[in-house]
Amino acid sequence: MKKSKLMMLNFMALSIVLGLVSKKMMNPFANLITEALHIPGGISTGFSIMFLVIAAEIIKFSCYDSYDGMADKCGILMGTVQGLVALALGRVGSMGILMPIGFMATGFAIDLVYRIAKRIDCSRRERMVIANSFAALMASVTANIIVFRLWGPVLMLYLCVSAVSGMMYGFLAASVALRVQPIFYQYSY
Amino acid sequence: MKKNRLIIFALILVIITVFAAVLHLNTREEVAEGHLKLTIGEKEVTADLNDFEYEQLSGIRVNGKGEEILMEGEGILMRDLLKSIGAETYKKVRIVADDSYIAEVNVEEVLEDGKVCLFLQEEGGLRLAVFGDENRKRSVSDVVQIIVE
Repeated sequence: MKKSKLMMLNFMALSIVLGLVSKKMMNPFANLITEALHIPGGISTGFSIMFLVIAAEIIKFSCYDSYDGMADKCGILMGTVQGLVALALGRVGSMGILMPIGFMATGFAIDLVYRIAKRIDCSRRERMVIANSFAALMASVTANIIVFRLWGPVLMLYLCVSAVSGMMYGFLAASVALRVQPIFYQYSY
Repeated sequence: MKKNRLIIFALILVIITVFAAVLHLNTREEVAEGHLKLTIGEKEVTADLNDFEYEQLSGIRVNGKGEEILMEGEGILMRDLLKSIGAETYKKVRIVADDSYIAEVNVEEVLEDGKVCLFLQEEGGLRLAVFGDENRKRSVSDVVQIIVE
């Protein structure tokens, strides 16, 4: 296996693990906001997604032009693996056994935004912010369909909070990716 | 121009969120602390949590990892609570949390001895526990409303 491809897979695995671990760390802070707004969640997921967006950005746009096939689907691949790892570790949350669906939806959303972003003129920050925001929104939509079944103003707020928090993590993701990318260039080739 | 595009997107999203927050916080039905709203068909009453008779309850709860966890404390069986408010015929009961989350239990589960309980939380309020249930969706804290259907 080429060094660059091995590095790409390692990076994806690292992002998956960081995404899983960080969600739990964010929960206490996220709960302060969700309790004040009386909504059942939607904030910490965006932070977990941030790592997948950073990985997707570097894989799809930066280092690995020669692996277009995998790069195009790296979001859904990471989402699926993350869902299965979460299931194996028992971190299923309220979604139960259907939890991987939420992760897959997130990965699909990232891939979709990047596919569109390749065709239009947009900056790294723009595509990362939109990808993180849209993926967080998709995760919340899935959680609502499977678990919460919210309706009306509370659903609107729940989805908006997810999108806004996802957007903020997207800004953070863009600045992290800028610093991480040269490191991966260095170790990949 | 590109930078402005992103700022405009962010601003629109924040404005919609603020609007949604104001709408939600002004339209949601607030239940006073230490109280429980009970809806039986068309009838709606708000009960003081101190009005119920609590007893020492315990049971095994299954968490997301499949581990069995002993849960014990002061609480009231859902069956007894419904009896005390005069709800005798019903098909299902919906339990609403402070964050609008809704869990559902059916009449068979309610009538099963010691299965559906409401525990007093240390920080106040009630917590729903459905013992022997692997469905974590029905472990609900901060219960504010019970709808009997």
